Amino acid sequence: MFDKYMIYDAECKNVVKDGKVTGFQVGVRVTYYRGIIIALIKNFEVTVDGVKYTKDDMTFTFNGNHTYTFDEMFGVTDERWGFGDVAVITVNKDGGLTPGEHEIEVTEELRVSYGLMENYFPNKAHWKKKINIA
Amino acid sequence: MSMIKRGVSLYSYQQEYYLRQMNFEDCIRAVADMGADGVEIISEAMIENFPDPSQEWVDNWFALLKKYNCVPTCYDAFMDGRIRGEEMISDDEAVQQMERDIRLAKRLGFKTIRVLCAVPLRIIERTLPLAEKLDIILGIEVHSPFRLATPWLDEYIDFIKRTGTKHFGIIPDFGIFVKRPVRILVRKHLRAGATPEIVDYVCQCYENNVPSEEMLAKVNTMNPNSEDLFWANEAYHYTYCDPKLLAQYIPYIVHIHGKMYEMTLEDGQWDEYSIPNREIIQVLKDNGWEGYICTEYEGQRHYHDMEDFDVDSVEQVKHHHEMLARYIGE
Repeated sequence: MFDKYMIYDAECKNVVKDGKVTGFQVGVRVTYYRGIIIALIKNFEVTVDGVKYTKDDMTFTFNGNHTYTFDEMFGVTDERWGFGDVAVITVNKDGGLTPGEHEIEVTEELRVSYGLMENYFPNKAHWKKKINIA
Repeated sequence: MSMIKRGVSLYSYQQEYYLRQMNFEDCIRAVADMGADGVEIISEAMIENFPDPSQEWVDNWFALLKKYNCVPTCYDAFMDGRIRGEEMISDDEAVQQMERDIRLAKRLGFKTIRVLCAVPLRIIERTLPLAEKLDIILGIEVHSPFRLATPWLDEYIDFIKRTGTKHFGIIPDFGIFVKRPVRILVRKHLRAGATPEIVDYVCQCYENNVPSEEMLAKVNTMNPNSEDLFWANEAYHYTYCDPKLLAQYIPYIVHIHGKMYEMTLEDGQWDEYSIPNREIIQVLKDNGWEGYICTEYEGQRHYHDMEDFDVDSVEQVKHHHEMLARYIGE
């Protein structure tokens, strides 16, 4: 659910550090009907113009400036990604993305479960859209 | 006069809240606008800084309820079973999560907590002492694919009868009365490439209680694509129970979720497309059930594949309440 709202265009941009472009960012929202502890974030995958980036290439920033790698989020139960709040995925990539239009695909997987039910199906959302990089 | 009262689960406004088109106050105002007064909340969606909202947030919550003449009805609790990768939480952790919710529900003035259908009796038994101490009623949700009149439900009912507890009961979700497949979901599968003849056949089978094996066997001879097969399986994840079965559970029903997918207009009157609300509410009335039916609108997700269409949840809920008021006999 919420697949088409997952990618938040206004936060999609290049990252500039000390005058150099070190990567790019993609704004994302939770694709479930409530907020979650970040331990439930199972995976993100970002594909730009056919080039796939996995969670090992990324950090996850939410609640303004709380930044974690995906490994660091494992088991963290005292930090929450709020319902509808925009988080930012930063992909490390020298030079970032060229200015102009790009086709971006995002897959979000959340380990949401119904209590002690043995069988559970991680929530998986996927969307593809065109974004503009300034 | 019927003692059935109307409320709205703020779950119904999830999309507008998520997109920041409605804020928390707008959601509560929308409940009052329906002529309803019961507010049900999805704890981890709208309580700021869950599970420890600031006192300012809590004060504002009570001020809003007062401003719009609303009352807290049910607090919908969750249980995160997988907090360390794929490893299942322990019973102690499950109990801790429930006790956290009981305390927060109490702080926010709720009387009832919706407990997920997958919470076993042994966890309920361990949390009941705190619920009793704080006078909070736990209600296990009877939600599809679970059904009425099953050994699963009997176990909970037997426990209530055996112990005489007044702090545990059941919360039927009208999604267990899906008599015909959800039309907006059917249309989503058609948009995604499902074959109309196969989709129709599956719908007919569901409505006529054709066993799933028999339906699947036939579908497999119809040259199905992957979307067809997905639908053939998904359709049978819905549930239809005879509404008359509710009668035997009346004393144990502590709250109700008025699940709603799509309101349709026929002869100038609104009805839910899939769920026989008239029959269901008649059973509740005939048996003198008292309590809140809170609308749980769930149609919005079936439009999330459409770039250029957004459903108006407030409008859908409004029609649902016109229907509820008619059947309740206000």
